[in-house]
Amino acid sequence: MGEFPRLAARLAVAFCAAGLMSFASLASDTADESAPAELEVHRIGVFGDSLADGLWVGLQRGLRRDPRAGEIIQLSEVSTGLTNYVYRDISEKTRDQLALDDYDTAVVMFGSNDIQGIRTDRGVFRFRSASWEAVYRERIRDIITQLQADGSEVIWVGLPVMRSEGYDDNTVYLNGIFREEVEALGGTFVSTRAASADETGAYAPYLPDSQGNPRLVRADDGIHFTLGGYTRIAAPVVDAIQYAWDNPAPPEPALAEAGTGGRQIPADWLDLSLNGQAYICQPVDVDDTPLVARAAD
Amino acid sequence: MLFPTLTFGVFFLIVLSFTWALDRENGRRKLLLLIASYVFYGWWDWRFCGLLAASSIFNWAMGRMIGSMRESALRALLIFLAILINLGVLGFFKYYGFFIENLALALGQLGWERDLPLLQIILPVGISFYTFQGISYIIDIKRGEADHRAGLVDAMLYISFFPQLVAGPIVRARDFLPQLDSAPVLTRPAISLGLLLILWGLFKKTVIASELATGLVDPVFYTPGDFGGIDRLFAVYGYAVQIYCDFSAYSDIAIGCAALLGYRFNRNFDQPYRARSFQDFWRRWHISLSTWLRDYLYKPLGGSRGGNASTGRNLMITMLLGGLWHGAAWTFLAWGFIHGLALLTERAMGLARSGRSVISLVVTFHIVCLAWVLFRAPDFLTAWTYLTDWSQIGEPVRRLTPLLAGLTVLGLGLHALPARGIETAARLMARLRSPTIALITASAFILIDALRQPGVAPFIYFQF
Amino acid sequence: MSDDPHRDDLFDPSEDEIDHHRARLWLSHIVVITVVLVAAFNPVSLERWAASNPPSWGVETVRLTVRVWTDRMQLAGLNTPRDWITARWNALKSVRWEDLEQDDSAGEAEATETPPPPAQG
Repeated sequence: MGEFPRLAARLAVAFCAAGLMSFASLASDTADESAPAELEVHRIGVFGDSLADGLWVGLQRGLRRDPRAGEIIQLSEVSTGLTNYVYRDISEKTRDQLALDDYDTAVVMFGSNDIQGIRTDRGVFRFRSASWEAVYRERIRDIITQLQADGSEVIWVGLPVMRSEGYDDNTVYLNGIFREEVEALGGTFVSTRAASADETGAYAPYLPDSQGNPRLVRADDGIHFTLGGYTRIAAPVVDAIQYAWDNPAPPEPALAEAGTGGRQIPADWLDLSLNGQAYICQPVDVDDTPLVARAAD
Repeated sequence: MLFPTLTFGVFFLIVLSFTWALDRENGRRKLLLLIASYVFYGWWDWRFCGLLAASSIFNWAMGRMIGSMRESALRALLIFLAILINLGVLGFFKYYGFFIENLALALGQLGWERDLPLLQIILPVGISFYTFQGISYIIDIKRGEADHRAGLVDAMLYISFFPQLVAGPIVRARDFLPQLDSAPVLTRPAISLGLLLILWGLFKKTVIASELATGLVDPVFYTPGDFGGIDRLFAVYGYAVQIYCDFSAYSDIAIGCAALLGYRFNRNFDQPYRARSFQDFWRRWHISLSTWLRDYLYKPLGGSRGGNASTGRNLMITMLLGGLWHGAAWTFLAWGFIHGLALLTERAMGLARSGRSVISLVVTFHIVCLAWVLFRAPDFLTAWTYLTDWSQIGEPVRRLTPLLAGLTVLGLGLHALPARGIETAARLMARLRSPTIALITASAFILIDALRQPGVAPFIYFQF
Repeated sequence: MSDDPHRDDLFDPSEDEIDHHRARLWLSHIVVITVVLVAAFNPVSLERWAASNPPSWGVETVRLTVRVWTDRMQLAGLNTPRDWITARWNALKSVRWEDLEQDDSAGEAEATETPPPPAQG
């Protein structure tokens, strides 16, 4: 008997084994609906730290069936945060990342590595001091402004419930800051506390899955999640993203130019500021008619 | 402390200096190494030092008793108890959550919901390794292969010696305890081997394995259904290379560190993808684990001494438990099952004995890769999707880049190198002068640091 | 340890006690010179390690000391080899299949452009 029939038999046996083993957890795989031609596909960028890494996986799973979801790019990096810019300057990094690519939706999740002092030229600011908070808020605003200036919709994801009480207390504090700053700038803040806690709002390593069976959702360190856990906390983020797609923000009304008193100036006129005084100027004619400049009201 | 970090490097240099300063004072030397090992372990989590110490002292005490008793029912009972308690500790910490989750699932399906004690048991790092070493200690004493009169420091050092504590190799009592009887003697070839193994291990881990993991394997295994055939195929090959490089790197660094401290560990990997049969594969892959299972599980069960049926049963039990040892999940059990089935089939068809050709090598490798899909996938659904969901199979290549393909080929190509190349290199290096070696070593460190990814990969999903 | 004859002879201790001391001296020379060379040619890894820890008096002392050292080494140009290797590696990482399909000169031009940030997975 030749080698090949034996080997074929081995392969077949192996495949059968794999098939039998998967019998218990087979789920029917519905075909993806093909995206109608007129649907806009959104590129999503996930910024953040190690929790954002996991969130990225959760989002991929959560948005699989949504034809509006384009590529979900992972831009996060472990051990980074908004406090330690000496190790990794997130502002600079975001600038570099945005220079290379554009994202319709930016999902941001920082904070788990931010329970520490901030090093600046003026010294080290202690965590939760007034100067620390001022710098931190500034950095949050900087990130959001960069993202919005690039045309991305900002969805900031809050930190989940943590096992250690002290750590959890600090995350509540950070979430408060995130929420204030994000909403002030027109972004969306999504809380993951409900998704990561049990009915009483406390830390729970086991949470019921869709069939009601308790599944381990947290990793040993009480901070990170298992795969199932990340899918769970991604759910409210997916909801927020889809809501934003369903209800795109109306285009901002054109802001009145300073000094025009609300009137629209002709497109070929110039809007200048000379010595701090605002002027509007009519462009010079080809036959050298002098420029008519008048001080704006 | 993880091996490929500066923190460990500094720690190791300090330990190295003090150990060799205590040159001929064996007692103090061993005590220093023991303290260093607990510092190393405590760096992960100081709370588990107590468990490690308790396990070590327990095994030492039981070993003392068992060794000084004659063959009797009481002795047999004590041996049984000692093994049971070791396995019980391992079972509780590693498998409690798995057991409870599945119990809840089963009860739920039967309609008997109960309020089960859902505890998050934190897995102590290295428990799989040090409990197995504890069991080895007891059984080697029982078999008369190790000296039961070993001191407490010796026994504790054997179980908790930091190079092999966290990720193996699983060192046997009969191999290591005799080395502790006298202060080790350094030889230049051994030093060279140690240095080479450490550098080679660092390169494999931080350059090859990390790059493949983050760039190719992880993304494809998260959502395999989204990727095309080429991505998926290379992700499997890539994972085969990644897990080989990862695992063998930790073993190499451990063996290298031990060699620099004057101790000798056995080789743990021997170009496993060169295997032309599954029997051969298990002589080349995670050798310390497979020999441990063979000597302490397979043979006591009867090994191949009984008829075909009992041999088959023993083989399957060994492979299933070997699979489960890797992690508390059904996929690991299935992985063990595939290997068990392959070994059984080989035995039944007499394949292992007949002449093996390159085709056997290729086929063995591919069945091993098939089993790796189950090993790596977080659940059966993902593995099933990976292997059978052809809906996106024509997708263009998204993750595989020329570099990643090159690293995969390199990782497999390493198996074509001379099997004892490192030893030959060590012998050559031993003749060189220290500045030359230092230049080589420094260049290698700088090269590795220049190529590696910044930061340390988090243990998000699996941890041995 | 007897089942690995290829390694046995490497660990065979010499009869002469002097050889042990010589080997120990040899090892200590290697270690010292290696540490000096790595500190000189790759100080940035030390700095990164110090920077990754939360700030405290001890950490900042180490970090700022290493920072000065790094600056001086960089001034002497000792970081050039390492930076060159990293740049070449990043370029290699950013090569895509499409680049290889084009002709060599065009491929070279692509490879030397600023690479996109590596997709951290």
